[in-house]
Amino acid sequence: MDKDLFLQIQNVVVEVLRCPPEQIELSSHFKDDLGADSIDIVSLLMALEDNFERTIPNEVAETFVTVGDVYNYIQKHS
Amino acid sequence: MKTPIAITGVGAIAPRACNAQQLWETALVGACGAEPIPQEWRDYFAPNSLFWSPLQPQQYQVLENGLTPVEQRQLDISQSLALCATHEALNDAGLETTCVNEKKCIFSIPSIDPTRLGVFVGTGVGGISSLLQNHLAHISPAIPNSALSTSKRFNPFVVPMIMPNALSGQIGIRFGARGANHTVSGACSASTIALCLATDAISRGELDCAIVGGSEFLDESTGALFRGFDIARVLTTAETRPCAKPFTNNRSGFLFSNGASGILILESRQHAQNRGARILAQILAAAQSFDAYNIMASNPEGAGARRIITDLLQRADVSAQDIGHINTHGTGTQEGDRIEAALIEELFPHTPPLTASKAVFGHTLGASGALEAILTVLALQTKTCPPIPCDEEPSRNIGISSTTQHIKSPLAISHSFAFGGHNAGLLLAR
Repeated sequence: MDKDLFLQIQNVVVEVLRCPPEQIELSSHFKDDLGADSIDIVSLLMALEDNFERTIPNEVAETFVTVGDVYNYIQKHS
Repeated sequence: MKTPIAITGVGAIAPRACNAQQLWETALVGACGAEPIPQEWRDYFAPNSLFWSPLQPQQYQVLENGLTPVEQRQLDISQSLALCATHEALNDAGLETTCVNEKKCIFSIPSIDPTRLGVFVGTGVGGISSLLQNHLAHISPAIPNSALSTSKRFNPFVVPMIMPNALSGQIGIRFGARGANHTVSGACSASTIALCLATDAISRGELDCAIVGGSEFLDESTGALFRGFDIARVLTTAETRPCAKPFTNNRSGFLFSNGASGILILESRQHAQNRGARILAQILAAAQSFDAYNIMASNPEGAGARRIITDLLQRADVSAQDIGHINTHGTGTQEGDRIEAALIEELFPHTPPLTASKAVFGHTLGASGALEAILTVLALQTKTCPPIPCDEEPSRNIGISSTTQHIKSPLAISHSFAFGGHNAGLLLAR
């Protein structure tokens, strides 16, 4: 695992969802494990775009269910 | 009004002022804070007015103000400014807030019945800056010679950023205020109208307390909002500072500001006394009128403005001679100042000390009435009338000065006259 990339994603998730960093793993489900609602998911998408300075297509964003989904997408498109 | 309404807290963000105390200190210095408009705007239009009075970016970048990055993406800056000013005003009023939801930044005010806490906030244009800025960033790559090569996501929160009612709504959500909640659109009188509505609602016994004021943010990268006022020929054409010269023969228009927020905490006197609050000043009367004349010009006889002053005096049961200070509308426009100066000279021949705060801070539109109400409270407390940044003689015999003046009486008026014909005023007592 690219630890730096994971930490970057973890920081964004903490910023948006205000959950403890130790609660965030690649397998963490945004809604079921981290308590995200639909507004949070939109906020998370915008925060990821700002942080990684890229636009994430809506059809891709809709497939983000876990932290690992985000990690895999960004790693693949870096 | 049978029982005066207590003002127990104030908060402000304005050009050269990050809180109400700095607002007062800047007003006392009385210098014109104008800066040349951004050079890049000239790529888009040839301006008639050369100066503006801007908020500095660090004043509205939310991290600096204790708001979160998430809120930055969801709030129009007029809303961010109002939230910051509200935090300050509640703290100033001694109303402790408790965070009840960290993720959503929601607070409660344990010492107040939330169903009897209202919000009344004025704005001129709401969150239109957010729409313009978002749209520009989104479509820029499609524009020939655009500096931006990639399109930014069109912000999914843009609707709650631009809808005017989100201004009072965001304050109500953040502080759990479940009483009457109104955003008032009344151009330059918006926040004075909001103060009138809140005063009336508390007087009728519908509320114990209200968060009241105004907020405005009119800025995006191409200067489109400045241009709107500039092309209407209402802005100063001065080539040097001071720019606005209210009530003088050399006035040429108002000094544009891109924004500010002023918030006051109003309470019934009983409620304030019951909780042992410090009362900064009291509202003895509030009045509103409408010109029904022209959407861009005041009634040339000043009938609507006159009715504000006469109604205030009658409702407070005081005479014109009792008034010790007036915070004027004083924009520096030819016609507006002519009407206002003639009215003040006629109705207040004892020449009480006046000030014209827009010459110092610029015209902050929907926020201006609230800022001026705050300055009037502080003027009464210190018995000091702030100066204006112009030492030219006024065109009428009225009490304007480039130096501070002593206020002899504990009564003052703050009034606003807006595009559209909306007039509003308050009579305050120390």
